[in-house]
Formats: sequence, structure tokens, C-alpha cells
Amino acid sequence: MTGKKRSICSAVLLGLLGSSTAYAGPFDLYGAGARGSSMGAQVADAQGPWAVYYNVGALTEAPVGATVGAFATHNGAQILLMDRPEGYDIPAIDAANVAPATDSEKNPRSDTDGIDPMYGLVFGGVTSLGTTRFRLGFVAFLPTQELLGLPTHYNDERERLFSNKLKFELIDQHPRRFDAEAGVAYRITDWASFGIGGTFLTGADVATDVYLQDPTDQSDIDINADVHTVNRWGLLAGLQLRLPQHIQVGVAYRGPVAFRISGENRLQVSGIADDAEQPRQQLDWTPKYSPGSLAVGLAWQAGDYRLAADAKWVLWSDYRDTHSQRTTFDDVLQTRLGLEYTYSSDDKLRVGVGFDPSPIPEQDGRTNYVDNDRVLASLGSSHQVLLAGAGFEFSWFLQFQLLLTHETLKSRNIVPCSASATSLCDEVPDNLVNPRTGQPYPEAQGAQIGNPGFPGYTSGGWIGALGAEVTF
Amino acid sequence: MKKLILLFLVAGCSVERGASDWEPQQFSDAGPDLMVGVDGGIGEGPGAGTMDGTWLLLHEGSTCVINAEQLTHAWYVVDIQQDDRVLTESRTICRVDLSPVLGLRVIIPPAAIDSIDFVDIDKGFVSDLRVGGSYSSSSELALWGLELANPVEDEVPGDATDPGVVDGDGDGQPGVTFNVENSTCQRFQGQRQIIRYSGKFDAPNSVIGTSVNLTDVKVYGSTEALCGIAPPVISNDNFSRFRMVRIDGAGGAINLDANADGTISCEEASQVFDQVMEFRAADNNNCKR
Repeated sequence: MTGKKRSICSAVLLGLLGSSTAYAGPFDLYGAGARGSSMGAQVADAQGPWAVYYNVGALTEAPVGATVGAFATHNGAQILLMDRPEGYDIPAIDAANVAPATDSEKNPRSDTDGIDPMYGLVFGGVTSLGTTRFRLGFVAFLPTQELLGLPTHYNDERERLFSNKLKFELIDQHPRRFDAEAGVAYRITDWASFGIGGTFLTGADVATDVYLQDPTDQSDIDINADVHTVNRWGLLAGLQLRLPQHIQVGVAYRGPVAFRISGENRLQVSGIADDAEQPRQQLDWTPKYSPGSLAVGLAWQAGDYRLAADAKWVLWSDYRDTHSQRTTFDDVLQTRLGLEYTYSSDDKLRVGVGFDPSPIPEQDGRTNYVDNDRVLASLGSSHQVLLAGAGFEFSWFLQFQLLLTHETLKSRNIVPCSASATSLCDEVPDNLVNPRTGQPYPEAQGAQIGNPGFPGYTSGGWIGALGAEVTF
Repeated sequence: MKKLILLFLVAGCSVERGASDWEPQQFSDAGPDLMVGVDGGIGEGPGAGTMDGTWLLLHEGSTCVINAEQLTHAWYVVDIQQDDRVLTESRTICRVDLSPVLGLRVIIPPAAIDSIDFVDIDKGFVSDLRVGGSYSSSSELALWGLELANPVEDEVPGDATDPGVVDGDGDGQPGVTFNVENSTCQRFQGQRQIIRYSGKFDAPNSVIGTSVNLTDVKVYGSTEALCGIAPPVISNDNFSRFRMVRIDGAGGAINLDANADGTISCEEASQVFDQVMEFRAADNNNCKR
């Protein structure tokens, strides 16, 4: 049984203005550049180096120069777990292959109250290489706390033996990484430009050779590691058309990119017969993932007003979770609407709104992928100033994203736990036999569910970002 | 402005904890009670999850007497209390049949059987009640017409006047009196027997296995010289065996408590004496070394 309820706050926040685009990298979640983060819709009308992210074809419009900025996030995101009904705890059964008892969990089941803030620097640059129709540009996000955090988590009952919490699947750890993108664009005609580029993310192939002298003393092991980073590129491509009546159209494609760690631990255990196969442990994590997407945008200049709209089809159906497991996420359509008002020759005011539906289907079964539909609102401005005879543009933005409150209730369809189970699962088989008595354990009867998401949870709150930059 | 917006968001957009409509889950004890079913056959049933209760043990002990095998078939009602894997066993011997040796069959009268004094000296063990699980009984130490200060280590007295020799069956003769089949000859003897049973569960309500037997016999007299002969009794444990089956109805076992008084007497148990285990005939080849 599941249900959804929308927060009344959505109506209020829709009254505010602002926006962003698809999420998973830092730019994906909060936008790239002060203009993009405050307007949202940029595919037809991206400006400066940030065109590399939104529509690399629009890079031909960018003036040569550089941008430096800073960026910070804050949030009030929460996942509140519903109280567990009595009688479903994992009992203390002294038998092999039985999940550890609820009483012996390392961490108590607890709510998720907020996600760590993120701070970083942004950089961008454009060069023409002395031409008029060609541009080369790059943008980058550099987190100041850590370059790359790579935590993983389970989205089912297994997590109770670790954090025993639920995680925001897409807005917490995935954006917390460096982002580097570069592209080139060429103005084919006076009204059409095309660009191509790449977004970069590393990966790793990992192998460890482990020697265990005494299987009863696993604190004393010898380990050699063989780690190789792997460069992974996501394709960027874009087309910008400048039509009559001050209308611009953009089409942009972003390929998926992921930080995937794969490999194996090769164990040598002393005492295992020479002809016996030594154990191997497979490793496969995908702690960072940005989906592929296809976006179209429209921009229209009407006097001092510039109106822009984007629609972006985000391919979440290819998503792998942090343990590289396939999911049943949906592809979703994200929308943005932005307005830029030029109220003087040196000053512009920007606002935007948007809506990001969650790609995650109802989690009434075994898994607890947590995400919310989001309503985005943002504002910002830019100001041209002269310093020491040189022209600078100072821009800022403030962005709010409301996580529409979502209530998840687990279905009563309970199956025995197994690797292929998709329904909420019973972690202690009813037919588990007490080796001393030969009889089933009374405490194993019925369902024993340690899944931290059981019997349900509510997620919601808000996330926000504030940033400023200087272009020269 | 920023503060106002933040304040509004925090105050107005906080998440409220939901409530589920899952009911508490309660189960009655799903252990042994679930397993008590209709009475089954000997040794049948899914088991009670404990050895607590009343069992019927048939022991087929093999001894060699002057190179001839003598089989002793003894039926016991055994009350067991299980504490974890430790067993406290209380035995009542119901009947003892001996195979003839040299053409003579010794008959043990009921009075002699009733006089047997079982001495508790240790505990039994059970490792696992599933099929294949191991059972090791407590030591069955039985004194026949004897009262020994140290029932395990004291020698069985050789003289009828020794204070350790008593008139166990109250017939005025030392020790206990055995009869000889088809004869009026009686033998008066004292006997100490120590048996330990070791076996495995072949079904949740049935244990089969072998035994280790120690028997010390001293003859204090007889009505005829012939039946007073007491040649050495040599244990022949390779050919001893037993089967023990639950008979109290628990765990789907047969329930022999005919009068429903909560205890099972030898008379009640005797209904199935011939069903516990197939007998075999004594085979002197088993005593050839």
C-alpha cells in the first residue's frame, strides 16, 4: 500500500522564482554558473563558458574570457522512519546463516536528518584561438571539502548492519564530486552553431591480493593492492539555431558518465589445500553516476525581457545504484522556465522555476531508494563594473528546491529473502530448524523484517544553493 | 529576504513522520506444540524438539559365555529430563529375557527385576535431535542383590555373608534368585551391571545404536550344583545394540499412557515390546575370536 502527499509549500515556492536542471553531478543538481542556476532554462540561450554544460553548440556566442566563482549548499532534507510494529524484530538465534539479531545491530535504526552541505569553487573559460566562428571552452567544479567522496550503501535490509539509515539516492552523494567538462563549437552559418565535447569522470579497476596466515585471526593479514584509474568520458553535443523574431532554439545531448570501481579481492588462506580453489571476492561499486539526457530549449527576446524554456528527457532507466545494481527507475521529463530582465545596460535580474519529477518508482517492496519530486525556484542578478579600467561582471544566484513530501508504505506482500527478492522479505526462514531440537524455532515463525525502511518512511524538506562568480 | 525565505521553509516545509497501519505480529509458541499430532507408530512422528518425556528402550546385549553367545533382551521405561544438551535419565527395567547357554535358559523372576537398584552416577548427552544427531546415555548402573558403598569401584563381594550382599528380592536367600527354565533349580547371585548406550536418531522419535556393557557376577549358592555354575561373562559389545523410542505421545509419537495418568508403566509399555526392534537369534559365531 503506498501513498503520496504533496506539501502545500509547493504552491508557495512556485511563487518564488529560480531553477536548475537534471541532477546527479553538482551542475546537474544545482545548475552551472550563476546565470544557469538562477534561470534554469539555458539550452537555447546558454552564455559564457557554461554553454559547455547546457548546450555546447551555444559556445560560439560566448565572449572570450574567464570566470571564477564560489558555491555553497544548505538543506533541510529529512527522511523520517515510521515506528516499527512489534513482533517483527530479528530474534537472537544461535544458528548459522541467520541475520544478526535486531538487538545486536551496530547502529540503531534512525532517521536521516539533513545531508552534508557542499562547498566548492567553479571555474570557466573560453578562447577563440583568434577566430570568429570557433570557440573552445571548459567549466569545472572543485569541491573544497574533498575532491571525491565515494561512499556506497545498500538500499534494502542489508543496510541495517551498516548505517541502519536510509539515504537520499540522487541528491546526496552523487553530486558530491568534482566536475570537469570541455567542448568546442563552430558557427556553421550566421544562424546555426554546432558543438561537441566531453564530460570527464574517472573510474578505477581494483585488485587486491590478500594473504591470511591464520583464518581465526583476521586482524593479521598481508595485502597488496593493484589500483588503476580509468578515464571515462561522456559525450556532449549541441546545436543552437538563431531564428527570426529574436527566437533561439537549442538541442543538446549529454552522455551518461559514472565513476565505477570494479575488481576483486584474491584471497590466499593458509591451510586451504593446494588443489582447492582460493576464495575470490568480487568488487563492483558505482558511487557516482550522471544520467544521459536529451534536451530542447527555446528562448525569446522581447525588449528588455528574455524568456527561456527547457524540456529535458533524462535517461534514469540506465541508472545503477552504488552497488552497481540495476534499478527500475523511470526516464523522466524535467522542465524549466526562466526570465531575464535587463533593467539597465549594466544590470540584469534573473528568475526561474522548474519541476523535476522523481525517476524512482514507489518503493513499497524490498528496496528503499529515496527521492522526491522537486519544485525549483531561484533568482539572481548580474552587474557590470569597471575596476582599474577593466570590465568585470559580478553575478550571484540563490536557489531553493522543495522536496515534495512523499510517504512510502511497505506492501504486505512478504517473501523469503533472497538475492532475487523484490518484495519486502522475511530475513529468518520459518522452516529454520534448531539443530539441538530438530524443530523449527518458534521465534522464526511469521515475518522477521530488519529492513530499515519497514514499515514505511516519509521524505521531504528542501535543498538550496547560493553562489557568486566574477567574469572578466 | 533570505532569512525570511529560510525561516518560512523551515517552519512551513518540515517533514512530518507518517504512521503505518501494520499491526503488531504475535505468534504462539510454534515449537513442540505445533508438532504434536495424532499418535503414530513406533518411533514415528516429527519429534517434540526435546527428549523430555518417556521413552521405551529395548537393549539387545551380547555376551559370550564359554564361547557361546548369550543375548539379553531388556526392556526399560526411561524418563528423561533434558536440560540444554544434558540428559537426566531415570530407568525402570520392565522385563529381561536371556537366551539359553549350553541348553539352559536363565529366567529372571519379576521379584528379582523389581529389586534392581539403579544408581545415578552421571548424565547423558544429546548433541542434536535431528535425524543423525548423537545420543549418549547416562551410565546405567544396576545392582542386583547388592548394596555397595562405592557402587562403581567396590568389588562385588564373593561371600554371601559380606554386608554388601543383601536379600534383594526378599526370598530369604542372598542376592537375587534366578530360575532356570524348565527346572526347579535356583541360583542365588549378586550382580553389578554397567551399560552405556550410544546411538543416533534414525527418526526424531527414535534412537538406535550400540552399547558398552560391564557385568560382574558372583554366585552365592544354588539349589542344584549345575545351575550354580557361573562361568565368566565376557562383554561382546560389537554385537550389542538398542533402540529407544518415544512413547508418551509428544512430538507425534505413539502414546502408551492408556490410563492417562501422566506416567507410563511397564504394563502400559508392554503393548509394544515386540514392536520396538526385531530380535535376532544368538549366534555362537559372534563369540569366536
